[in-house]
Amino acid sequence: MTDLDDYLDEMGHHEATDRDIERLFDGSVDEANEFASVAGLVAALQSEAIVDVDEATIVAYTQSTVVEAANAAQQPSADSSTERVASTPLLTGFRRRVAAVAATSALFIGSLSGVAVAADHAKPGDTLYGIDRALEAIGIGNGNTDERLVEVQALFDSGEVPRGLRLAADVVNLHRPDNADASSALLDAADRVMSGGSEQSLEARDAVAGLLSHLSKSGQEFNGPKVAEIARQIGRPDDSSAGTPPVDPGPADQGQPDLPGQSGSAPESPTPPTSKP
Amino acid sequence: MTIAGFEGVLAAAQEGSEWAWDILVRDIAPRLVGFFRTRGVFDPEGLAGDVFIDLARNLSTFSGDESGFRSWVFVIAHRRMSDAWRKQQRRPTETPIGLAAEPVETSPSAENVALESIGSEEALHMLEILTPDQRDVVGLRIIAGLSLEETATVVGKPIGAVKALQRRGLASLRREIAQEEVSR
Repeated sequence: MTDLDDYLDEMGHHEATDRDIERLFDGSVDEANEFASVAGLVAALQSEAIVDVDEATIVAYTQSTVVEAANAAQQPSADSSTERVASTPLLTGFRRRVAAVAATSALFIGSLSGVAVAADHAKPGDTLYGIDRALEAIGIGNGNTDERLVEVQALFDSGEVPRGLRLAADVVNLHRPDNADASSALLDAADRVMSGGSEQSLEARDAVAGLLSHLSKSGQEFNGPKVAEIARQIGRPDDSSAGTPPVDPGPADQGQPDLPGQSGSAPESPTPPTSKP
Repeated sequence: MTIAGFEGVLAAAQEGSEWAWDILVRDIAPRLVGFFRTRGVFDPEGLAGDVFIDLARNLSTFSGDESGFRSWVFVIAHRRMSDAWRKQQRRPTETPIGLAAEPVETSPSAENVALESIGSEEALHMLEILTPDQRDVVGLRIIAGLSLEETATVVGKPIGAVKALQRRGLASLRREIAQEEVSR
């Protein structure tokens, strides 16, 4: 565009050339430019109000990308990474949340490594709990099923049944991503309990005792369909068994293979990029 | 508008280095969020967070220079935006979140020829007269700071078509501004 633009400039041609438009965009437009009157609008669009992102959000983005990149690096290939993303939709929102908490807290606390030991003992609701989960996501700290179940129990004991159910859904989703039906049922149960109020919450607390019992006994080899079945009984309006914990399936159910083709809808289903340009 | 030592930063980010991701995020985030705001995305910060997650998952597959990287980022962003709209099954009409409504200072040279001061809300409102394609191009060029070539890659059109969209969009905005001035 240079030769033509130079010629048109010399001839005093006032119709905006490509170069004029570039000048408009970089703020060096002159009054003869055909689009000079748009300069104020361009400046407004480039203003701080449009492009501003606060520091906490920046740090949260950084932390979540580091965590996610570490997780992706553990996948054998890009294709399987994409497949895994599609099959574990809950992890995205979960990791973003904990990373945001970790990032914000780290700003004030300082060294992340120094926080690791203290954070590992954090329980849900503690300031350091988000850091605990974020560190576990990248392989630091315990983060095993037993630790998670203790945290679920702590939430139930403090009356925070919906949060406990959501954490249980995370446990299921983290260790058995093939059991989307179970994690989805747990999230639905959390929503039901949440909408049912405190009375419902108390009834559900008793009901989920069976769920905890099953998860505790079976560890990571829990029976996905059974978990889903128990979860669907929690917080139901016509649940005549509310207050009566479901019967724990016991050791006989442990390690049973999940039913094929079970894939409940998840609340968050990101569409991964398909290819690069 | 460029990242010093981009190749090293990219390589370090691909290895998972936090400092490298910090550099990339600080460079990309304002353009990304700003672009989503100009396109009327309801939750621009949230959608940008989704884009960063996608970047983190797929950065190891990227190879190229900084220009290619910017194009790649906004191709992902553009797809994310389209997906979000398809899920909502409606065009965006909400006011973007978190905008300051204060007037913005313009350069002295521009003050003589344009509106004395255009607020950010008013500027975004003016963009609504553009077609979606024009708005894409204007947002990518002005806010994201992409070149014509990079913009063409993101929107999947030839450079000539991008130039035409850019010119028509600016012409529409010029007419809108003229009408605003007359009505004042």
